[in-house]
Amino acid sequence: MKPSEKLSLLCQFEPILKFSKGERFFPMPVEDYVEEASLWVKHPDAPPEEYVPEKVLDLEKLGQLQLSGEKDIFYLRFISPMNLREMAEFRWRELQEARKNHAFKPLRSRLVRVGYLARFIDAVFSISLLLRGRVPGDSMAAAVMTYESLQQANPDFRYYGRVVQEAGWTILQYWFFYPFNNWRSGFYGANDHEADWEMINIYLYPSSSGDYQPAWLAFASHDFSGDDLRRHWDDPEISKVGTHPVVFVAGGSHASYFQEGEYLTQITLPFMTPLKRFVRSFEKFFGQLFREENADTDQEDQRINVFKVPFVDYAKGDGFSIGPEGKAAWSSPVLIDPSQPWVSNFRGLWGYFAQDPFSGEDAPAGPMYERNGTVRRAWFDPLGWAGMDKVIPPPDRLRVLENRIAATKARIKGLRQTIARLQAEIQEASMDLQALQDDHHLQQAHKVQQKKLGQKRDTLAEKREDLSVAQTRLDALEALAARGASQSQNLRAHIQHSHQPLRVQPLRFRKLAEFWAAVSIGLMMIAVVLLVIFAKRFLLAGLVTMLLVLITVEAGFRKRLWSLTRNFAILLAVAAVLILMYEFFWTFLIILVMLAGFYMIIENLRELFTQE
Amino acid sequence: MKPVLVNRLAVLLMIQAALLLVIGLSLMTHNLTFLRSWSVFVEAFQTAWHFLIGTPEVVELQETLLYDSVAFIGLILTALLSLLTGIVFFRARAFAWVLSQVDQILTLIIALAIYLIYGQVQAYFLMVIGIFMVVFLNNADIRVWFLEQQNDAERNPL
Repeated sequence: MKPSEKLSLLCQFEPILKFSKGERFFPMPVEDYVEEASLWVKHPDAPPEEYVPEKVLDLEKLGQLQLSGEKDIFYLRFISPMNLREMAEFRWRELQEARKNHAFKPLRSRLVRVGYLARFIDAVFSISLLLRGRVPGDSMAAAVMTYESLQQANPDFRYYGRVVQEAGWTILQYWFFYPFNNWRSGFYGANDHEADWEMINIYLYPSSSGDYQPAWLAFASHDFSGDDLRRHWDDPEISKVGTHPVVFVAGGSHASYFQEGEYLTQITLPFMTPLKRFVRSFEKFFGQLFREENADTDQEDQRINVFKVPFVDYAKGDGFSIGPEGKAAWSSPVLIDPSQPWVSNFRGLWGYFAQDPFSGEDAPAGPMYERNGTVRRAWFDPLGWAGMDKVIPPPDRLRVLENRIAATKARIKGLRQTIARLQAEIQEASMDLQALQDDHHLQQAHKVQQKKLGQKRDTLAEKREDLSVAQTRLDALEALAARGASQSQNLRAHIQHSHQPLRVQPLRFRKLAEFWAAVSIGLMMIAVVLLVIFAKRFLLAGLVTMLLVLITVEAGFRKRLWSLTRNFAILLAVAAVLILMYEFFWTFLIILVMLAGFYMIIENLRELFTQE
Repeated sequence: MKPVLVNRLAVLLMIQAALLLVIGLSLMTHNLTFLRSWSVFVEAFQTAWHFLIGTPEVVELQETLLYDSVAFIGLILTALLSLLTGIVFFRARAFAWVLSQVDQILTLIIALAIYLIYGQVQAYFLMVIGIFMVVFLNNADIRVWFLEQQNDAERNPL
């Protein structure tokens, strides 16, 4: 495909990006960013060094740099630290913006959406930021100022396009480069980092008329991959303006969503997994014991998981928009592919390397690479990344279906012949066996023959089973052919966990509940310290009382006093059972065995007396 | 229609009230004299009660006696709650289910406290009562019926 054709296709389906109010960074040309940036290197066990000063680099030089050093990490730095006057100016301007109602306001506080345990883990996670590497506090402000000055000089909203043809699909990759991710500092999210590469894919197939038809869409969202990322072009969840899909971009994190709304994104902490498993088993056991509905289902996506740190992605779509019919239009797209040295040659990070062990605060690498320098799956396998490798393009479906029907028929024919042969052999062997069975001196031969017969019968049973499966498959394939091979059965069958916007849960005294959510964990920590200092003797009793108060107040706000009392009663009953078993183990065992004995006697006698 | 189990549970709550009272009294007098002779029991109880009221400083020094007294008062209150819950249960109010759970929580907390603090034998009886009632209260038919009552009440508060 010629570059002009690629660009034309990209423009035909270019997306509309809708941002949340309060978003400060938008897709920009990478050359503006690189020209503003300096290049740094971090050697192991040594402080970072400036490798190329700012305003010296450009895309060409970046691509030509020969960066070596096995354990060295090369990274760009977009911003320089601000002085106090600049910082004060920025804060004053932010206040003015907030007054004009341009600032971000969540529908409901993040912490009030989650339970107290998740809130506690969140507090630990926040405190850990003090110890982990993080982006400096003034980075967001400096990035806003630098980005705005660049935009004033050259207003330009750009995406980078890549077109890949594979397995009958034509994949349009739209790459968006943001100079900064301010999810943490701007939207109470998990991280901040310089530079942010985001991407969406549109999967096209060639129609009989020679043009390209869109079939599927996949939006990148954090580091997720797989079937759940994609939707069919005709899925009602997708918003479109003509041939342009709408992407709802999350504030700060720039994750892409199909629908506007607030999304709960949960970060798993590995050390909480065993506890989570234990609690799930406990809930499952009692759910089954008391015959509750959904006791067996794992309702991970329907409820807040208390063992993960909760963050909200605000993809409200109520702010700026770029694209057809948006508040700003895209500038001319730029094609990217590995032949461009800045894409393939520079494997370093595109922003500040915070040395965060969780990597959340480190900048990402370029569109082609992961932070560790390996090639991104979305780049080398755009089909498999969204589970598209198993989806057949519509024009090929009939051909593939016919091939499968023919192959299955051939398999059935072969199996029938094998079965007929085996059946005949078994009958012959059976006759031999009959002949041998009465003669005492032929017992050894009889045994050998019997063993052979057994093996043949096993093989025959396997072949019959294979035939049954093949026959069922053939029926299903023919039924599919009768329905029309090109017709898709269920557009959403591939989705296992659909990431849906948060529902607003009923909450009593909302403002009070939000205030409580904000202060409860902190208050509890202070109270623990006070207890240790002033009333160590009552530490345990105090802790239990505080915990009970916390749980009860929470349940009251969430209208869950009903289930709280029930769960608490069950918990105490379980503790009592364990104590009784510990204290009276042998008595328990004797009673249990005696009861079982009595039960067996009664059952057997009942059977005996019901006989005629 | 009200399940038969609801009425049975109401009766069980009444029985629980009586049992809690008996266990409370046995804690207070350290025997079950009232089963043999009412007058002996009344005398023993009066002595214990006067000792508790009249010599608080001694009670304070004798931890076991203090715990007995506290457990006795706790059990009497819980027994009263059981009685009240039983009556409300007969009238099939959704609120009764929550109240009965609270009743079991109190019973089991007292049982665990007695067991953990000074290990009296009465703790085991209380545990058995609590466990039995929790299992009974969480019977699927009973729970679903009360949930329906609660939903009806929310839909039609008058």
